Amino acid sequence: MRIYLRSLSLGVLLALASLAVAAEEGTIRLVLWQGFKYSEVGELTANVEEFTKSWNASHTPRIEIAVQQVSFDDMVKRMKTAALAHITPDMAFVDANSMVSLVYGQVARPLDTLKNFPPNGIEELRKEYVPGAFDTNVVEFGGKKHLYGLPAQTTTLALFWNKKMFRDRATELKAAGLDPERPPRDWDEFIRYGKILTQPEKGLFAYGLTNSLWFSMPIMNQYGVSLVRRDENGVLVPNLSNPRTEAAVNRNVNFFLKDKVEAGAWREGQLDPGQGFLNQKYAMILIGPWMIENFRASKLDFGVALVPRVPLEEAKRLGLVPPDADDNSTAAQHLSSGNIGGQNLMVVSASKHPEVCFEFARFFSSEKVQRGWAEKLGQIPICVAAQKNLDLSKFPEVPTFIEQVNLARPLPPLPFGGTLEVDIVNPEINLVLQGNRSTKDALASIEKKMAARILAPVNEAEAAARDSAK
Amino acid sequence: MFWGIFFVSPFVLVAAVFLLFPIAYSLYLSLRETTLYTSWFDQFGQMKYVGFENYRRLVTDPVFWYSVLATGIYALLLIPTTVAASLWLALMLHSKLPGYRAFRSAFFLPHVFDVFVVGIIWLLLYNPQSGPFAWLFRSLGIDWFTKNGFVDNPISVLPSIAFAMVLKGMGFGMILFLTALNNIPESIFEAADIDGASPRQKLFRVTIPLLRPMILFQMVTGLVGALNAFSEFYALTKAGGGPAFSFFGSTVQSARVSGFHLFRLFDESYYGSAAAMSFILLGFALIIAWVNFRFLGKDNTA
Amino acid sequence: MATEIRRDVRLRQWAINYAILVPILFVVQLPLMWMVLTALKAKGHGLELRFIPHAGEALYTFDNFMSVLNDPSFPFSRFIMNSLIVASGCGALTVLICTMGGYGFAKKRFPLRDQLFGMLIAVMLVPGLIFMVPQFAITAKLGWMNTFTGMIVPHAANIFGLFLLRQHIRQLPDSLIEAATVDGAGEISIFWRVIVPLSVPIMITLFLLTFVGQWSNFLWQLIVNTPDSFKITLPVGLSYFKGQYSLEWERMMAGACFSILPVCALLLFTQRFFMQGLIAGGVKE
Repeated sequence: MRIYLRSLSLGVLLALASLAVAAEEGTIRLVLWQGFKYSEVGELTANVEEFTKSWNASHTPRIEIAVQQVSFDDMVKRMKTAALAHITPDMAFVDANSMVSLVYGQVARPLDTLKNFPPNGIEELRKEYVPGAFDTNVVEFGGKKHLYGLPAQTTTLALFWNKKMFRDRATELKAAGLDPERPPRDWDEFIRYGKILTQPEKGLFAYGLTNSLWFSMPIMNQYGVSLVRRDENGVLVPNLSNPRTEAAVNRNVNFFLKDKVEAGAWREGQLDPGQGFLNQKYAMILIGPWMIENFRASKLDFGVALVPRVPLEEAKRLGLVPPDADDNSTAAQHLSSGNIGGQNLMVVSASKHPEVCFEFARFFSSEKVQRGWAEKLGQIPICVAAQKNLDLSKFPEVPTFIEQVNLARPLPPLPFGGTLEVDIVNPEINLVLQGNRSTKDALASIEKKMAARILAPVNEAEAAARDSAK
Repeated sequence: MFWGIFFVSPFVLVAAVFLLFPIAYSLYLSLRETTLYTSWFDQFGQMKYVGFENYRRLVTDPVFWYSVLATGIYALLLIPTTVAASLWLALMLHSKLPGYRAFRSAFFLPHVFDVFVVGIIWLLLYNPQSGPFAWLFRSLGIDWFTKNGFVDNPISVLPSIAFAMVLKGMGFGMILFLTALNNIPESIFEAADIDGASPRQKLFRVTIPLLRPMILFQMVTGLVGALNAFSEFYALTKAGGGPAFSFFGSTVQSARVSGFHLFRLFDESYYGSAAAMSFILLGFALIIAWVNFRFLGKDNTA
Repeated sequence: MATEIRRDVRLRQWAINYAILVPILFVVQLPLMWMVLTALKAKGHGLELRFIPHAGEALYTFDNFMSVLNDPSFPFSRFIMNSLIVASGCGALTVLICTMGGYGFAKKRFPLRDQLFGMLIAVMLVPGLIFMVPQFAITAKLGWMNTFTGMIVPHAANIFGLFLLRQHIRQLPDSLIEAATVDGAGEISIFWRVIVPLSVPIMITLFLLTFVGQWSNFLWQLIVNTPDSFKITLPVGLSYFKGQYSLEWERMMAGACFSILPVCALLLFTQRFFMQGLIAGGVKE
């Protein structure tokens, strides 16, 4: 905390002082924007100090990294205005799901063209990291695919279940042949548990659903949905009118509409899933590790498990697994999936020292640093090597999240992500949840808007890039 | 003449740089649009000329027309109610009720609150099961809100937001009315008393006509407020724009008023469309303001 | 006898008025009360929908306020200081140029005066969002990033304020100005000695309205300050604070209380002044 105080509140003084020093000794001053939580900033500051010290021991000119606080939600907006005023930082921790817009805005610098980029290329580097998180950094822009950042912190959704609420219905659960000491493993079982846990007259429900594209990605991924595909001419087209997507959306909305195990938490005026879980109104929710601290503080008796799978029979019917797959096969494991959130460390294109920034990104995502973040703060290590032999005695939930994140896939790398989620997908699904539109119609409508507002400009730009290449 | 220009020049200078120039510049931007490859370092320089395409796209977009309609509905719900509630409060607190000063301050207080903070609390108050308002309706034998919620359905979402904003804004209107009431000479009321007018007649024949300029003033500022209204919708729909419904075959979000739609365009960097939309809205506002002055202002306006 | 009956009637009228006003006041103040009670709750209880502690439970505490005040990374006193400078600076500048402008538009003659005024009034109807990006670009070009000037000047041309003062000054009798001219007063001294003293109440009102508005002008103050700026104001500091503690409702609400309480205090202290200012001046047509 003390260290943080010094670096933040005396930041300007330090900056001024360092400018004076820089003029004399030629020190390189790098500005790093971060939007971490309070509890995480101390660790970050220590990492920065360690990196600076070891760099300065073997390199001239010396460097100095000024860590500046920006709130996570404002990061992209701040970057946009900073670019307009030409006062961007050198590097920044940014939302993994905003990489595409940062790349298209030409604020992010490709890293694979740097002198010190590992010679084996992007594919080799990918093996070191959580694949889903790494993939959010690979963006195709102007017809070329580049790596624009390194994963720094990752999150995913998993199933949280309230052990006490399960125990309260132990007799009924046992009577139905269900074990009250463990959470459901697939969605059919989830509904069987759900019907018993739901007691509307007491205001208790088995499940609270968040209606947003990002929050439904685990189910979409399980059902093998990919929102877009390339047709035979290489043109991007929406890919939603198929039985798998329909099954995924139906699965999601039917918790409320048909199975009646969902509380209506997707409605604006209801307690959202986090609030409902905290108040012991919803027995199960899908949420990320960022809520653990809060649930603990409220002394909830809860557990974390993998997102329930697609039931094996249904998966076979939809061709998601081979017909002879059993419950323990690798294919069946992928019937549980997460989504990808978290932050990447990107280098701003205006930075004069991208190589040093890249070195810092490598350092930050290294096994040593990631191990520290996991063991001290309960974070999911972004670096595969750091996931082994961890001492997580203080954070019993983290192993589940590690397992989940390795099965996770990110949103497709499309621009206009905000338009897609807020203006196109969420309202249509909201209409389905209200019972006023069929899933089929909603998907058709989403396809139409997606094609016009998101894919058309991308296709046009790609065609122009191809033409100019000829 | 020199002194006239001398006195207005500081204001006009600041207004020219920070208000008039941005408007002119936006007019120019409204004929351009951000493209996929517009660099953030030169966002305005790299916008592409599209002519009147932004305007054409807006006026053929049902979502835009719904946002105008929703703003109209919201303004109709909000403005007359706020004016009536403020006037009523002013009349109640104009008489020297003991503790009237404390009441005035207490009613004014919510005006200074940040909607983003208060909005979160309003959502808890509007909770269909555990919130106090649903409880109140239940105890009156109405359980429609418990089933359908306040901000959870396209029918009651706009009235619910308007209600919260009336409570927030009526204290400010009250103060404005109090100032106007204080400027009415006591002798006019005395004359009415001598003529044997009932309190009701006094209100409708004397007070309200005398307050007409203030009512007009509040209507026009209320209109400006409704056109700009955004944060209350953002906060009370959890940033989503409210429950969806089908409007002439297209899906719209019920609380997507023009301010919210504008914000979305702006937030996704469609600066050209946002500028074009602002000018269409300005056109509407000018027409409504003109009608207002025409029919409510009549002889005694400036 | 008669006076007693009249007092009876009056007492009954008061009682009725109270019976109506107090419940409405309760509803109006509900969000504030909720906020303060949440800020007083112990960690982890902020979202719970109950306000009465179980037997022997410590549901309420002052810890949140203390931890906000003692948080080394959020120097709230500095945020408040900066906000005070910005809000009162903007208030003062607004009042000055609006009074001058109001006087010019009300009492002076120059070509296109009424057209110019009409145009400014129409600007009031332009959706506010449209100004932000061009204003930002201009502010950045002028080199006003991270300065109080950049936070104050762009919002000083308050057309509503100009309108208020012009309406007020218009109804001051011309004879006052003529008398001063006869006494040999110059234009500037007429403004300072005659117009300003007669406009003080409405100027104070405009000052307070501007102050309150700028006190919570989050978005603008956010974008004209880089993250390392020393001039970060309360709403911006609070947003960083919220970013850090978004899930700790109790602490967040305690922080929010700090943003509201200074304005409440200001209003309560200046209440008499403020109300009287408005009431004496008023929007007259």
